Amino acid sequence: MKFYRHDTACALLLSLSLLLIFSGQALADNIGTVRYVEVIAAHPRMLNFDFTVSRFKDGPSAQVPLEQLQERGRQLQARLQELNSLSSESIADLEKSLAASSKNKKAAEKDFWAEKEKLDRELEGVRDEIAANIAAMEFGGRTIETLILPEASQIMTDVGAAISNAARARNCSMVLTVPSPVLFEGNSDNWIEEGYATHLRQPGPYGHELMQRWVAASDRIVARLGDQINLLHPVITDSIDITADAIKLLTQPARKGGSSRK
Amino acid sequence: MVLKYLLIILLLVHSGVLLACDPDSKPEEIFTSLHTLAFSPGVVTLAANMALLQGLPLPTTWESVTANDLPAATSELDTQLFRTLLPVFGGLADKLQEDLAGRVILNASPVLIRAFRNALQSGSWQTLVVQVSVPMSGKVVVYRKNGKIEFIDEIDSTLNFSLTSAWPPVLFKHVRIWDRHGMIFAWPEDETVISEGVVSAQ
Repeated sequence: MKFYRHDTACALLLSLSLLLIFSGQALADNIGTVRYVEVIAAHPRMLNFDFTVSRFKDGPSAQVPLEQLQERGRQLQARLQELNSLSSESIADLEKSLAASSKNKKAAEKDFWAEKEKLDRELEGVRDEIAANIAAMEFGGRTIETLILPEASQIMTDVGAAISNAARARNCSMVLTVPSPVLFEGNSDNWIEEGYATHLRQPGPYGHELMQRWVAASDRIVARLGDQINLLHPVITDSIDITADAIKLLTQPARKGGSSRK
Repeated sequence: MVLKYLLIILLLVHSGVLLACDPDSKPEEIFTSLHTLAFSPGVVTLAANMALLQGLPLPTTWESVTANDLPAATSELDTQLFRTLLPVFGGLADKLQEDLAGRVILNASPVLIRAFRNALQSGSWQTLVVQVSVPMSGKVVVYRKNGKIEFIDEIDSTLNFSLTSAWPPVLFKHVRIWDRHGMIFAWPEDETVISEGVVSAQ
């Protein structure tokens, strides 16, 4: 797999070099490069992103502390016991009515079933909440992935907009993403490059599958932020690195043109 | 052979039939109707269910049998039918006990009959599904003369029947009878997976 990727990368670089040689230097000043991962990491919301759990520290996707879940579990168990004892009490009341004169039996029977219906509905709700609480504890308080998708989608949109605007400001007709200096492993996170390629092809909302991978692999972003070297520079000598511009647009929304949501 | 020729002629001359056989067309409801009969047939299934239910001893006579949500005449017939059937079924199941009393509130709804066309998962031909549902439930209390409750629960004995045939209906594919606990009867037997038509009918 590594050989294959190495070969592919070499072939790509070679073809790019040939393309540039034949097209001449005239095009070089119109080509921009961007360190895409770095721009994502510079998004203001990423400051609140917890890479260890792949969730934001605040907002709807925030990890719920285990103590809070345990406390909620205790409250729900107490409510369940309360409802069960209420149910037993209502049966005992009906028993008393059945043992007494037949006069009030009908009314007691009607009242019992009406109350039972109400209790059953509430019991079902509490049991569902207990099950959800247990599931949340099993995942260490981590919320479900779908809760992070709207924010992840927003970040991708903001990043895409910032890069596009930065490229326009520098008069770049083409933007290339800088390949990662880190060698791909078996479980590579090439979703970043894929995401950017998707953005270039079709700017706009991204598919849920891509977003899910974004979330699942986001903990590997950090490892790649170390020594970002613009590997395209030796090939495209006069290319413009628009990473800093894009970051500026993202982090200084007052200047406009950066993030689409202020 | 005659059927085949008839079908070919129909396909050639009747554009409506051609449209009906379009596998891409969406499921289409042919009709849905509710019927209130002179008595609720669900009473029979409820009585049978109660006789078969484990842990439910049956009294020889019922202290109170009332019916909800139906016209008075139907309710009267239902209660009479219940009072008649229970001792018979209970006797057959050998579950009758002298020292017990019982109260039941019957809850019968009108019988639902639906017919709709639907596509099979495998595509190609559509199917015609005819579904009949007989809803019935009973709130049952069985207790000793001193008031001690032996059994108390709501028993839902709603029975569903569906017949799936090819569309146009020249070949029957499935017959299913099921209640809330699962399948009671299925033809053909080897196909345990409920067809798409039946699932969407539920």
